[in-house]
This record gives sequence, structure tokens and C-alpha cells, in this order.
Amino acid sequence: MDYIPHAESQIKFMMEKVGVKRLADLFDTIPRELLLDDERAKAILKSGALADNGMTELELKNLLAGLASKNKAYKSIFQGAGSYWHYIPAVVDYLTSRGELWTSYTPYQAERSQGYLQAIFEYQSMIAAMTGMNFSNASLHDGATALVDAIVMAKSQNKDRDTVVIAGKINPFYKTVVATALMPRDIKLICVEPGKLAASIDGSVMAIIACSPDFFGTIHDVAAIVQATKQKDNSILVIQCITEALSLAMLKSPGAAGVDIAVGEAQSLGIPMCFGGPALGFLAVSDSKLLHKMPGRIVGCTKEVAGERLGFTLTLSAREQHIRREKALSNICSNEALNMLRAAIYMAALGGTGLKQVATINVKKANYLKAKLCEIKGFTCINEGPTFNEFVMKKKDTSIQKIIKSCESKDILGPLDLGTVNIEWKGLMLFCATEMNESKAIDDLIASCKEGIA
Amino acid sequence: MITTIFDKAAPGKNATGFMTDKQVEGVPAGIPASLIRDAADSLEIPDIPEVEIVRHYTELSRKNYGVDNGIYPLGSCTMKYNPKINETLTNLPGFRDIHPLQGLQDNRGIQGILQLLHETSLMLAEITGMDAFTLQPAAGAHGEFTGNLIIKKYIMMKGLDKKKNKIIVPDTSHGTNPASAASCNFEVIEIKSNEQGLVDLDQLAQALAPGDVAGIMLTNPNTLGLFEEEILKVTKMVHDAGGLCYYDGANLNGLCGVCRPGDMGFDIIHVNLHKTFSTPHGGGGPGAGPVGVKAFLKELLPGPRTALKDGKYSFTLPEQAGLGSIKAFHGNIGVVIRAYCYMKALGLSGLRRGTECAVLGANYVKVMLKDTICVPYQRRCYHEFVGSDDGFPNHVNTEDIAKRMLDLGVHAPTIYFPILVHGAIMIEPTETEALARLDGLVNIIKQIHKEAEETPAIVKSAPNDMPVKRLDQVLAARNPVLTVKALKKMQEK
Repeated sequence: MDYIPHAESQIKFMMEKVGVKRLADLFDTIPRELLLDDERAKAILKSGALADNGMTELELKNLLAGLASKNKAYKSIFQGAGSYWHYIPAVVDYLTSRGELWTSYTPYQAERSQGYLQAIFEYQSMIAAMTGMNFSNASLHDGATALVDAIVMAKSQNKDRDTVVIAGKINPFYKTVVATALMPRDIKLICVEPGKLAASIDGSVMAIIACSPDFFGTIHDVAAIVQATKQKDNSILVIQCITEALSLAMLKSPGAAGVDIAVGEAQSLGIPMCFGGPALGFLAVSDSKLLHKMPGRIVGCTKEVAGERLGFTLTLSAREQHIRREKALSNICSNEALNMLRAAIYMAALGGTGLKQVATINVKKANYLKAKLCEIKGFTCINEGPTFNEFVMKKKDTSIQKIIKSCESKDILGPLDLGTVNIEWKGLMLFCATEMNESKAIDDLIASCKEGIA
Repeated sequence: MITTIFDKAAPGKNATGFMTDKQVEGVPAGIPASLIRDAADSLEIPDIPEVEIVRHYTELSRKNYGVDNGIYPLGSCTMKYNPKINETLTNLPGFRDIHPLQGLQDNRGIQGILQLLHETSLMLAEITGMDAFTLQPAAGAHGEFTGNLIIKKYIMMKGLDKKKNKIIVPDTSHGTNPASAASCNFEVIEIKSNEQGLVDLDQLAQALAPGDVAGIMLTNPNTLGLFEEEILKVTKMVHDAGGLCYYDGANLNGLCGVCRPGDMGFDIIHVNLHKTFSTPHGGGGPGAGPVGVKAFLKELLPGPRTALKDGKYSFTLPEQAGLGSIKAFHGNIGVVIRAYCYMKALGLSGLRRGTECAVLGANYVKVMLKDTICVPYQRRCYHEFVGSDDGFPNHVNTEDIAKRMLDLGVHAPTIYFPILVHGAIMIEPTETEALARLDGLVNIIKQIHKEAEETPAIVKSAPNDMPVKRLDQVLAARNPVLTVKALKKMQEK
């Protein structure tokens, strides 16, 4: 089937007006040898994935239902590592599915897009509140690409320097993205434990990345990292990277800790995991000089040219690719707008009180689980500080896969076997607990861990 | 006076109820007070009753316009209809609620999604004439960045990266092209178009002569809506000079199913799933920008790729180091699922039919407006055409026309791009606009032309029927008010 609304007679009518006898004549400026005639068109369909003919809506539904049934949507999930299982209030799906929003594009025509522009403006305000910073943009692709953008901003402030120091366990998937994206730029990455930060700072360092909560779930004293850095060299930018945005509702804000750029992943705020994407990168700054280096769309409030009413518009576009071309700091055009809208509605739906409560429940669920697991012989928690909703357990023997299989038999996605991510982490398991994990599921998980060593 | 969501506060009321959990009653949080928000750092997000949230966002949606409302002829953005079944299917729990790291070790419990990703790559390869795809890039520009990284890595592997440090883009290119090349540390050379609005082969030869060009980035049809008729010569010249050819798929809707960038000599391409393959634009995203390459560049694609062996699908990493990864997980999967649905629903013949009708629609609107809008480059247009405000009386300009279109009930075209057309008006109707909608658009532009003659003030003052009139952009940038807090401060003054 197709979604073309024309009756055959209307196609004929338009062809007459345009002056072509056959639709194929529309392509008369394409060299003949490039055109796919019927025969060549059939010949390119080699794999069978794409058919010449389409299918009906019902056939499509059956096909996709079949594929979806071959994926396992677990009853309870204990993995995070950058993608989190959280409750999504009904109003989020309901409101974001409105066609006026969902089927619009970037609000270039401000007067006809006041609705979306206001929603972005409110999102910027909420992210500013969550991060304790002054300015937020209107979204980036995900936490990892946002971190790349933050590093590029730091480089633009410290052009003659080339080193980025990462304090705390960075999410390894982010690290790969950063290394890949910076490959052409000659920027060095060094990883250190936060306690040994001061020793690694020299004149080549342009930015410190403070990961908190870090990949192992540990909450670090970011204010102390800022202080240690700035004492040594005030021009180094401190970037806090947060992969679990819900933690912002409870923990000391990046703004209060004094960081220069708060950056991370806000998938936790009303966005389904969907096998890892689309997600939502956020980026916020406090300094107005950095604001002018910030990538992505930004919405501002202004007045009518010939009137007194206030309205919203995309602004500070002199930073962007469509104006600056090769001189722009970033090439971003399409962003993750609809997920930004989801996050805004999510934060509105929970409210400040609800956000803090969910964050607290996450910490307590994880702490409960951690305490119970520590009671099991052979299990040790290796986090050296307090944790948010994730923590790492070490096991003496190599029965992690046995634990995971046992979980699976109970319809539970067990912990992440860190040895499969990084060989140096063999014998470590990353657990995540959220408000979604019911008491029974947590008890089942604990039982599976006990079975694992039995 | 503007009312924001922050004004709907009712402390202690929210849309979800406040959670408690018996199991963790009395469990300590165990986080020192110095690491927790204090009074000076309190979370300033209000509690809001559910009914007020629903009304607030419903009201905002009424002040917005999407494809579901009517024609959206925003050139180069391909604002076609987004089939609703694709939403329903993407939201099946077997897609929506799966974790990106499940099945990491054994690919179990993710066979359905792996099959979908695998088949999407194959379908894209067959449609575009490329050999392999990565589905990881999140948007068109993210795909361009990926493509430039591949070019960089390729010339580094040949030991030529010190020598070949330039990327050519034509003056009609999207702003993302030079920005993407620059973010990979390439120097950008812009070449002027010839009198026909196509790549000027002499200029190209000159740019290639020093031997320092790593590649060229091109759209085809180009942003004037014209097919690059010498494309085979262009790609050969670049190849002969040791460069690679990158195809920006932003305009693929002008030739999808009719001819293939792979056959034109392109080595690397990206495809905008949110354009050609009909996934909703979402107010600016999420999109997806899968990148395809010819076989010789396959090992340089970022991210894990799917493979099929003995009836089982798996993720495999490239044999060599590859590029690494350009997004935390596998890509904008939700967008890929919708595009998969679209390709399966249409089949190759349906995709071709869509392109034919997109090109027919653009040519029809262009013909019907031939006495109204001056089109400086008069060749066969494809999915879009670019007119100019030159023929409008009383100095009515492109911005006036666009704003008046809003008053008359349609979205405006892309304006002032590409820059080589004075007062550019770039119209892309797409194949999903019925004849009556196309005629409606034509009549609106004709009416504006008439108004420009008879009552120019009504056009120059437009829009008059929107929630606000034209906004002061200079003030917005000079005095940035970017949050509710700043807005309140401004209003107090």
C-alpha cells in the first residue's frame, strides 16, 4: 500500500499540466544508464528483505507483532548502565502524540510555532532547575554526544591545550563515543581516580570530566573536584557528566557544586528504553560567555517588533551551522525534540515533590538490594562511596552467568556482567534498582544470586 | 502576559500520586548531607495537578502546526504524511521496553529487533546501491559527521591525512555539510555553481588540482531541486584525484526507487529516515541518519553491525578496529522501526510511486505558479523547486510572503536558502498532498501576489492572525531571556 492521496484521474490531470505523457518522463534529466527500469529494479532486490510490492496494514501489523514477540520484554529489569527502566506517567504518551506537535518540524516560523517554542522554553527552565545552572539548550542526541559537545566547548575556551582528564568511572560506551568523535582533533583523554586528580593537572589540561554518579553508581564530591581543579588552574573547565538524570532531583546540583558545564542523558525522564534510542542529551551552563559557545537550538522570549506582546523564538542562531557553516562549533540540526517534550511533561507530571520521592525510592531500593547481597557469602560491594541507584558487586568465583540464567527463568533481567563489557572488570556485576522493581522481584533476584553460588 | 506551566503550581498535587514503598521503609539513603541538595539549592520545579498539565499542553498544541494540520511545504525537509500504524507498532512492548544491553553476550531475547535492524540495513543498501550500513547516527548531520570521520580514517590509513586535508562543498550545500567537515578538522572549499545551477566542472577541476582534496559532499537532486546531470563525471574527477564522494541524502525523496546514489559513484552516503521514510519530525527530532558505504569502506563503519548465520541474528564488531562508536547504544531504534514499517508497507514499487508523485507535485505547483513566482533556474525540478521574491510588487519580500502564508492557513516554505537565489523560496510539497491541497497552496501564493499589488500593507504586516505578530529577533539575541526565572525578572522590571 502507499499513502498517496491522488486518484488516477488526478495524476493524469497533473501530468497534462506539467506536460509529460508518462511519469517516467519526469526524470528526463537523469542519464539513462542510471535509471532503474522495471527489469533493473527487480534485479536489485537480492536479499528478499525488500519486496517489489508492499503489504496491507494488517499484514504489516502481523509482521511487526511477530518480530516484537521474538524480543524479551522482562517482567523486571535490574540493568541500567546508561539506559534506565522508569515509570512513565500516562499523560506523557497522551500529550506527545498530538499531531500538531508530533508532526511538526523545528519551529523556524515562530508565529506559527508558539506552542512548541513555549514547551522548549519551559523545558530549558526545568533543566536549569534540575542542574542548578542558568542556561540549557533544547536537546542534543544523547548523553555521549552531549559530552563530546561539552569537550568541544572546552577546547574553544582553551585552544592551546589538548588534554581532558576524566575523574571517576566513565560509562565505557560514552568513552568510546568520545574517543571516536575526537579522533580528528588531537585531544588526549586521561582517566584518574577522583582522589588523585590534583597530581594529574598540568598546563596541557583544558577540561576535567567529573562523572557523578559514575558508571559504577558512585556519587562523588563534585564540589571538591571543582575546588581542587580551580585552585590549581582557574581556566580549566569542569564538566559534570550525569548518565542518570533522575539523580539531579536529589543530589547536590552541578550548579551548586560550581561546575562550568552540566551534561548528560535524560532518558530517565519519561523516555522508553526502546533498545537504547532515541534518547535525550542535555547540556547546561551558567556563564554567559559559555552560553554563546553552547551547541543546539535555544529558545528565548522577546517582544513583537511592532507591538507589546511577548512571544518565543529560536535565538542566538549566530552559533549555528545554517548561519556560520564551517565556522560553527557544532553541526547539529535535527535534535531530539520530541523526547525533550516528553521530559518536560514527565517533570511537570511528577512535580518537584514527586521527582525527589522517586529519586529517594531509587536510592533506597538499591541500598536494600545492596545490603541483602552483601549478606551472601562471596559477594562484596566494591563502591568506595555512597551510590545512587546502581552499584557493583564482586564475586569470587565465575558463576555470574549462572546467576543471570537463574534470573531469566524468573522473567528477570539480572545484573550486567561487566566482564562482557571490559575484560578488566571480570568478576564484577553492575546492579540497578528503580521504583519499577517490585518487592517480589527484588526478593526473587536475591534468591537467584544465592542459587548462583549454591 | 505569558502564563507558563510554572504558573499552574498547586503544592502537594501531581499527576502520578506520590510513591511510597513498604519494602524500603526505614532503609537509609546513606548519602552524606554535603552531597544532597540543601535549602539554597532546592529543586524549583512546581507540583502541578494532572488536569492543568493536560490543558496546558493541549493549549500549546493548538498554537502549533504539523503535517496532520495541513500542507507543510518546507523545502529540503520532506514533510510528508506519517502513517499512524507505525506509531502503534513501534510502541509494542517487545520494542519499547527492551534494554539496549540485554542479550549482549548471546543475542538471546533480541532476535526480533536484530532481524529488523538487519533487514533495514539490507533494504537501505538495495534502495541506495551501497554495500553496508550502520544505523547508529541519530540525524542527518550526525550521519555527515560519521561520513567525514570515515573519510578521515581512510586517508589516515593510507598515510595521506597530512596531505589531503580539504573537503569540497558546492555553494548550494546545506550548512551542515561544511560544519560536519570542519568538525573532522577538514578545511572546507566552497565551489560556485554554474549558470544552470549545477556543479561547475571547471571550478571542480581547479579545486582538485593541488591534490589536497580528501572528498566532496553533494546532494542530488541539489538544493535547487535540480538533478546533477554530470554526476558521473563529477564522481570520476574526484576519484581520479584520490578523493572520496559523499552523498547527503537529504533530498533522496527526489529519486528514491528511480535511481541510486551508489550507481552514481558515491562511496559514502547518509539517509534521513525522518524525511524519505516518513518518520514524524517531532518538532525538530528525533530523526535517524544511517550511513552506507561501498564494500571497500565496510570495516570503517562505526558501531556493531548485525549478521545472520544459521538462522540466528547477532551483533558483530568489525574485524579491524573500525571507527569505534558515535552514539552510546545502537542508534535511534524507535525511528528505525517506523522507517522499516514504511519500507515494508510500500515495497520498491511503492517507494518509486511516492517519488514520482513527489516530483509530479513539485512540477505541478511550479507550472501553476509560473506567472506568479520567478524561478531563476529553469530546468526540470525534482521533489522541490526554488523561486525568488524578485517578481513581487511594492518591495514585498520573501519573509513577508512566508508570514502571510501563515495567516492564510498553511506552513511557509524554506526561505532565504539556498543563498545563491535572491530571496529564495524553496517549495517541497511531497507526494502525500492531495491535488486540492496543491491547488490551495497555489491559490494562496497567487492571492499574496495580488495583495502585494493592491494592498501591500496587509502582506508587509503579516502575520496578523497568529498568537503573536513578528518578533524582535535582535532583542531576543541581545538580551537573552531563556528561562521562566529570567522571564519573571524581566516582567518585574
